[in-house]
Amino acid sequence: MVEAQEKHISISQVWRFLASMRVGLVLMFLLAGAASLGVLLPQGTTAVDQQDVFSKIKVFLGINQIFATWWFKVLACLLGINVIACVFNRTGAVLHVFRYPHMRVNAFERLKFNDTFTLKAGIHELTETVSQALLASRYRVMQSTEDEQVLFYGDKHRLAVLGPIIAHLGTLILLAGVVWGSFAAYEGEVSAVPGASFLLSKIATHRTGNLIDPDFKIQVNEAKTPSVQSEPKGNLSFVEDGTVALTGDVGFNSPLTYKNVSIYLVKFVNGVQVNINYQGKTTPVILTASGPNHTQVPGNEKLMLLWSNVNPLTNRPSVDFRLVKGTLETGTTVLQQGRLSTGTVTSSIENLTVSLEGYRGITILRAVKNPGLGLVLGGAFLLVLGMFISLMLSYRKIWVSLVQEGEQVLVSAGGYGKLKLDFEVEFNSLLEDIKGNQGG
Amino acid sequence: MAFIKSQNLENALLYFAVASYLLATLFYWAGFLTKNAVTPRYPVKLTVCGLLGNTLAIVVRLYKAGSFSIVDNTDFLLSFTWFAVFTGLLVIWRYRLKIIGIVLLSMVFALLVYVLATLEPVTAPLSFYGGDWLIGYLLTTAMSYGIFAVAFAVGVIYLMKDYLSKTNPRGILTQGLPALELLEELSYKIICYGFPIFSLSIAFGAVWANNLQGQYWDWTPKETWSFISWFAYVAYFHSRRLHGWRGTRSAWMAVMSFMAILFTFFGVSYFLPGQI
Repeated sequence: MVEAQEKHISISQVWRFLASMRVGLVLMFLLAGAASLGVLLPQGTTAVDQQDVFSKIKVFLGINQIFATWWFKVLACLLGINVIACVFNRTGAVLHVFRYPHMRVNAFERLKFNDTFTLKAGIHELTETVSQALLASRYRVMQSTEDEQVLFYGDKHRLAVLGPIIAHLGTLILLAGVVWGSFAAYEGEVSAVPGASFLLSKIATHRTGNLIDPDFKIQVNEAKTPSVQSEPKGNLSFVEDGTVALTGDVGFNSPLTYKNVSIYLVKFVNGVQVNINYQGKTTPVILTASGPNHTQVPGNEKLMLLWSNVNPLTNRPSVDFRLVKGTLETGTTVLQQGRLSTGTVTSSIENLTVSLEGYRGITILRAVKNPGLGLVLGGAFLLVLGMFISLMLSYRKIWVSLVQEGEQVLVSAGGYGKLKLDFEVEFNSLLEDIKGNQGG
Repeated sequence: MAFIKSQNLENALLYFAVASYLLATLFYWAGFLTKNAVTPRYPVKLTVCGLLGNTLAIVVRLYKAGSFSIVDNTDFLLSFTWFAVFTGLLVIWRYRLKIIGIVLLSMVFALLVYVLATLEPVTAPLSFYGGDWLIGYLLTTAMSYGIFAVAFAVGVIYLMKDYLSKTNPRGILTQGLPALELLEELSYKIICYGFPIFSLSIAFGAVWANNLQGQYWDWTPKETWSFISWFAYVAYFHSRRLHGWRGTRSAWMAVMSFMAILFTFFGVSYFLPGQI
């Protein structure tokens, strides 16, 4: 029994800890610190020398890819749990405040703003005055009468109470979308050369397991090069089960979507096409200034072409090459080197010739399927909506009590608002209205 | 029409705005140091003149671009300073707080001098990169930065007053500054308006990036520093609520959060080049 109680206490303690705003604040600082590290340190670099102790620590902590590390994800998850716990803990109380106005006030003097005075007037006359004054300030007014006392409760911008709940719910929906996306989304990039086609499963980066369903073939019908005032465009077809299911244009800001798979035209790069002819078989290769700098000769594992100085000019394209024997790991021997330009063909060495076909404009396409996207964007806008409601509206409450004492009425008033100075002005103005109308 | 499209008109308007802001800054300082004994009305009038020049410079650039767009850093900074001055004037008018001009106008003047030094001629907007989401993103960003700049100015005045109250409580300068309570609440109120707009700008940016690249978030330095700035303001609100951080701490947080905003704009571009 005692053990069960202790267990119960410990669970509630853990829950309280997780729901604590203090923990949320610490997690936010940690995430912000980690994110700033991710910006300041080079990211996306390959693994460092494993022999060095510092390098091992760097690899363990994933310093070169902070945003994908386990600990960054753990911090984000903990923040998500914190938000969930906060929402669970506070929603009930907030909804109660929202639905059931707190009509009674125990002691006016405990309120931040309060005043008590007497007026020579009838209570019925004063009741009307208070009600009108509150309504004129756009308060929602409730009134109750008990014995000789008339009690007013007024509030405005009550919706502000729901703002934080809406914002936190939005955060939860957003995080749910991110988590769903991280498990079920995939994407991949491919160079779109007119006439080429590719299977979605061949280019997509699988985040978890084989999620490519359904698998389409995407065929590039046309890839238009950009000019001074025209954007690059592509014309694509989705081919499913051997038949064209959808054909359409794709351009910047206008993806083509079929069955929740969207194809984006993400960039356009200039390149050159080189033809490698080995033992009578020709293989085209596209080279760009920032692309791969070597190509294994198809059909011969010992021959390799190293590329440099790729000049993707439309009128005079060129590229420097070195034909080498061997591998990059074991060392290479240069067999031939030189510069290729349009129309030049290298002399045949080991049944291999290389020629430069010409300039090629290369459109880079990205295929994306992210089922969590709707949740992310919906959650983000709900989060923003909650912020607008909670921060731009100032919840204000006022209580006024009128008690007939002989020929006089004892007036007690008090209230509070989020922005104290603004509320003070309004509260004092209200009191002036009550006093002024009665000549008090 | 050729006159409007000439660079001379744009330059003249910018120089007019900069000169007006400079004079306004000097008058704000003179008013502060002499307890408004010197020409108390001039600084606000000069600020309005500067805002007029700023507005016309934006209009001329929009006309030259041929569409409603914010294309480069010049356009963005002109919009940012416009929103900062406009919000500042609203605060001055509503709360009779001319004192914020000494910080706000000094900053706006410095930003516009930077604009003049790095002035980029109007280029046709890249329609294919643009779209309504991008315009929405840049406009809300400029608006929120402008509002935060005013909160920053109020925060700095708060810290000045706080420091002077402790070191020289009866001094003329100390007496010339508004009450700490007013400054504290005003700073909070302004951030309450700026923060949802800033959050909206990040959401717009995410939608734009998704339409363009198929990725709503890519942890680029710009995105990451927006995220850090956003967290800084979230921490500002939560620390007020949780620890009751008011006064000096709250003012420092408002100032530091705006520093994060400035780093998002300038720092990322200069310290992390190629990552704009």
